[in-house]
Amino acid sequence: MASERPAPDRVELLQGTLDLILLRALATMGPQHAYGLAARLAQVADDPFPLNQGTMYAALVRLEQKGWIRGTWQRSQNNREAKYYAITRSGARALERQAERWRRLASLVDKLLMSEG
Amino acid sequence: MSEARRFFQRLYYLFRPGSAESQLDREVSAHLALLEDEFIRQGMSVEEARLAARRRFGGVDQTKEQHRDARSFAWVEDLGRDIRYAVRTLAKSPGFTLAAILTLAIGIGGSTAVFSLIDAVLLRPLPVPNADRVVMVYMDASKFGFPRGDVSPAVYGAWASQNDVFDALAASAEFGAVLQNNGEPLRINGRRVTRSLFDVLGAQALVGRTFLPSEDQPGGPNVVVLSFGLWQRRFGGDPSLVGRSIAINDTPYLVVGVMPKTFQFLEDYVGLWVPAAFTPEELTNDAHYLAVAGRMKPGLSDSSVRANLDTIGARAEQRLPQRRDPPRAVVVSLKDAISGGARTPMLVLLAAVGVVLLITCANLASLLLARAATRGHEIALRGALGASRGRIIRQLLTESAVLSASGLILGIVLARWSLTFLEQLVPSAMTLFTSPSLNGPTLAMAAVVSVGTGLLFGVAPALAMTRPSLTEALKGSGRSIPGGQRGRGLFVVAEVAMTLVLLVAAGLLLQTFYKMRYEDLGVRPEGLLTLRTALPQDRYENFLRRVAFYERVLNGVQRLPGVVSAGYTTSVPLEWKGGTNQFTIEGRTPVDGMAYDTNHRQVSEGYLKAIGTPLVRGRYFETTDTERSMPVVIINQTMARKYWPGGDPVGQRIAIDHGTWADPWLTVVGVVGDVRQMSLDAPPRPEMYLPYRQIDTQPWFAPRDLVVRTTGDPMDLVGDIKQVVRSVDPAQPVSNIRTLDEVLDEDVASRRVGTTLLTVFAGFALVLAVVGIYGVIAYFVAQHVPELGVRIALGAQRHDILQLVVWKGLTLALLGVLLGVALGVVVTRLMASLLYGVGATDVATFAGGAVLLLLLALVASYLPARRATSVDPIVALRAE
Repeated sequence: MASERPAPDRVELLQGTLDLILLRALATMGPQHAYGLAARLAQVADDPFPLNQGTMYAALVRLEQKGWIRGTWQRSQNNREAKYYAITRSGARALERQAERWRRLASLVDKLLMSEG
Repeated sequence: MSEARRFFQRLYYLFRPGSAESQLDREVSAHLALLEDEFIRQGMSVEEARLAARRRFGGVDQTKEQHRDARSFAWVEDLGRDIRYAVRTLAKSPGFTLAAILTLAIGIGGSTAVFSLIDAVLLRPLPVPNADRVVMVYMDASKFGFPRGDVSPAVYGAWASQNDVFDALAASAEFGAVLQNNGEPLRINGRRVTRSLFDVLGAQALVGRTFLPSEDQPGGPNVVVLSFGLWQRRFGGDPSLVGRSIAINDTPYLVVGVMPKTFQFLEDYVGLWVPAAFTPEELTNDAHYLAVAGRMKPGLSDSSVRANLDTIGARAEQRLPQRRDPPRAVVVSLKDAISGGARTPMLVLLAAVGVVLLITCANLASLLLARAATRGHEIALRGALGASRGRIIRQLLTESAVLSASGLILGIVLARWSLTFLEQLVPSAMTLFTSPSLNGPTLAMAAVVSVGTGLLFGVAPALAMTRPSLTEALKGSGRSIPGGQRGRGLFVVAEVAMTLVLLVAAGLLLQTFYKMRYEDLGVRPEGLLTLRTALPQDRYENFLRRVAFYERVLNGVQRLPGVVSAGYTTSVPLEWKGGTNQFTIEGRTPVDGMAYDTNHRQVSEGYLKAIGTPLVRGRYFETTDTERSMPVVIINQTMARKYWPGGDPVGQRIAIDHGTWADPWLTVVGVVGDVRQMSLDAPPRPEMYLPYRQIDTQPWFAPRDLVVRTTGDPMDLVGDIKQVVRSVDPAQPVSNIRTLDEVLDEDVASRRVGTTLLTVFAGFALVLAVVGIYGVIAYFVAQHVPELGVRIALGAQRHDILQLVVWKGLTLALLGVLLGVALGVVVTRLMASLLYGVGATDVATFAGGAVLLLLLALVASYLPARRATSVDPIVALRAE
């Protein structure tokens, strides 16, 4: 299981981070298409998000295959066809776990950085 | 849970890539459309918005690639694509592909088959519990030419009662048994064995039991244990036979057990065992006729066992009035005793098949390099389009892998098919319990070999083809790849060298085989039939009765139409490798350290003439050599040379067995040519022939083999001859009916198989080497068409061009031959023990192999060279 993997290396940390961010965005915003998610990330980051928008698709298919989000085709407000992703119940639980893990990890890294700074 | 779920989804997409791909397409174009809408809202033109959207989104193909990676197992898909691509590419050149797969199949199949043989004979443990503790014990009689001599009951008795090194020691002696089969007497090969034999071998009966202690006693009951084969063939596998009596030599024996099908001790055709039941008198007998095996106590070494036995032997010898050399034990593990002789021939075969495999690899690598030339452009293009070098190498290696995997499959079929042939190489002492088969280890070995070869012949071309000089390959016509020509030249040199080694090895073994089987046999085997009528000692104890039997049978047989001559002998050549007497020469003191020991064969007067042994001096036996006339003896040339070097033995007198006979002195009346009676690859021993009418002692040397020289097919006469024997004695069985050619063939049977295999391997290597040379030269010509065109335009003559090209091929072959001779001198020395009548560094064989290779190289280079002379300079230059 994802949360029980050995200490993540840098690439995995980034990857896991993107997954976490996407889950979190879907949890707060409700169902959203990939473009909407990208726009939201850019908005939150207060800055063009440092990621090609296409990169999200790999993360989305990963989350979908794990059963944490579910995608359905719908019409957007401006009448465009788009695949909307919604967080599932197991996704919500996973988000809690991942967020907790992230917080612990972040505070650990913080502490280490402080004590050695 | 979620990871498992993801795994199955990825697996699903692996087999259904299409649906996900189109979904993704839809999603991405929707995404782009939304981005464009956004940019248009910000005031861009439609065209600007489209480009900006693309930029923001990033690489669409990259996205798809990442999606594919995340969605499924990309490497599996890549592999599948590579394999499909490889199969398509290979299918485009079916000739090359077929040749490659076939050569690989022969290489892989051959090595698998040879390995399965080695597995069966040398690697698999014996079906004997704690087999490492079971040893054969011989007596060292090297002085007489028997380094592993049989043991005498006297020595066995001392060893058995006094040793502290064996848990069990056992002895086995021959036991001729005659069964009645539907009124016809049938001779069965039996053994008298001590009860302990079954303990030594850890064997139990399949039905019933083996012997009880009370049965292996002098005067014990007549009991018998049957072999599985005899039980099946003669008694239909009837389980109720155990507990009933059968008649053996006209005496009732109680059947107490049947051994399992795989039970085997040294011989593969033993039909029954009876208890040895040694009497105290027999245990003083000094004649050597026992095979002895022992189960060592745990933790002992062969040498400590030998030391213990030698101490006992020396002690026993001191008690004898007459001082002799104390008996020295030779201890050999059972495994070594039965399969040791097979090791060198099998390793030679393995080495040969390994060399064939290497040559196959070199040839394929060379062919692939040549193909690389025509594909250089394609590969450079793929590289320019962004495929990484690793990716292209992987693609090319997939091609090699597809080839070697196909070769593996076909090779296994080949190996399976060749096993029945290879089975003949299993030593006869093992045939009942082991045979080469395709099992886990051998198949694993085949797979490893196939992967190894795939890498071996695939890596070099792949590296050469992807050498990063793209620009050159792209701008040129794409015909050449740098370094390829030299690489291929090296491969050819190596091939020629290895082929020469194989040719020489095969040549040496073929000569050995021919010399063994057909040269200087000392007999003329054509049309000779041999039959055994071993007279049961109880019924033929009377000397005159024996003589009468021989006379009547010979008279009857000689009168048959189609019979040229007939004779009786103790044993036809190769059928009994023992049976010797010590002797003294009249008027001579024995030379210290010299063995006075000779084979003892009692013959009828017509025997030597009948088998075609040439008379060198003196005379053959005559009908006038009777029990009343002067005792005479004929000796062979080896005996004459050894004991009368430079002198004439005819007229000299010898006495047998220290002159213990009634009329001790035998006069030498003739010297005859040597017969290789011990083995076709062993030098002849001293041998003497005695007229059976003159010797009424030593009944165990009484003639038992009848030889008949015929005009037609010898086998046509078998019925008539049996009829003659029956008319003389209806109870006398006739066994071992074979032509002398068959007897000789059997002695070299495993050599025939080994030599045939090696010759096939060598021939195959030769074809590969010649094809290799041809390929390189043809390629050279194709590469140099423009240059050749220029030369011709400048006035080069036909023979200049011919010389240029042919010389190119010959140089490679010459280099290979030189290397091969150097290698061969080292390698053939290792197989010296397999050779007979020809030296390991036989100059003629080396020269013959070298000349054959060079001649074929000449032909292989001449063909493309002729094409080179017909290059039209105009066409060649225009193409440039």
